[in-house]
Amino acid sequence: MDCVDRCLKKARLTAGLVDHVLMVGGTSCIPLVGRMLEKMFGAKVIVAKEPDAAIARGAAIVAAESWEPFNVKSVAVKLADDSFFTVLPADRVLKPSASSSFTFYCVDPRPASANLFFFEQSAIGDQQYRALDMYLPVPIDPEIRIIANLDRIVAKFSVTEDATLRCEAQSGSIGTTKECEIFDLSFGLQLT
Amino acid sequence: MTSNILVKSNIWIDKQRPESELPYAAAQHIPGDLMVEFLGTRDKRVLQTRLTGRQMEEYLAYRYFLYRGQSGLAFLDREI
Repeated sequence: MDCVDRCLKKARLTAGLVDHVLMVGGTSCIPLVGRMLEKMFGAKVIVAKEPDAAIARGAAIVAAESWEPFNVKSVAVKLADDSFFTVLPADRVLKPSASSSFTFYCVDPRPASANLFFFEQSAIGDQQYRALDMYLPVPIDPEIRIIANLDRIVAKFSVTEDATLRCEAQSGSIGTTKECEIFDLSFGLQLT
Repeated sequence: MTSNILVKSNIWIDKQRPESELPYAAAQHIPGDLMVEFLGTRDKRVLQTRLTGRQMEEYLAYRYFLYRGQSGLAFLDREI
């Protein structure tokens, strides 16, 4: 119920000002939740028909109305000089066909892997980044001792149909392709 | 309980030209102790011209303050 309180507070409403409460999702099937909401809102609480399917139906309606998802917070890779390189900018439309490739250099081959650490903008429009729980170690040759032979890591970033960022990275020396997916992209919807 | 391991990113990219193939441009981002191995000399006069300030600092820290046999990764206490 804390979440409901926060929601009301955020919308600057009180329970008395709400006309109807429609319960959707799996939680609607828990009788205690319904009782607690009724206690708060009175007899205005209604359970949606097929509450489990409500979210899927909503998503289908949105999809049918020509909305397209766009990225809200930039996704970046942390570099050896402690700066960030943006691989998926904010406001970029998440088109499944779109992809971009970048060439990274592994400046320290001793760990035998080039480590791609993924970060996300901590808030919309913020310059600060927070670490995503995701890193991709790409195997490399640790014996490189000439600068000209520094290992190149070609990383291809693409967006899948379910708004997931996919990274495929390959080193020039070993050639093994490693991949990972970042599922928790923050995205919004805009009209096409 | 917090993690007591620290892994630092070891990749670099030319932000202006993210698809360029210029390995020498990455030279200034190589850790100082490794750069000395690449140069193949410990002659201070040479190192002073070839290393950046940060690399020199890392090399000196590695040479004088790390234990024998310890990993050459300099500045492990720097947060990622």
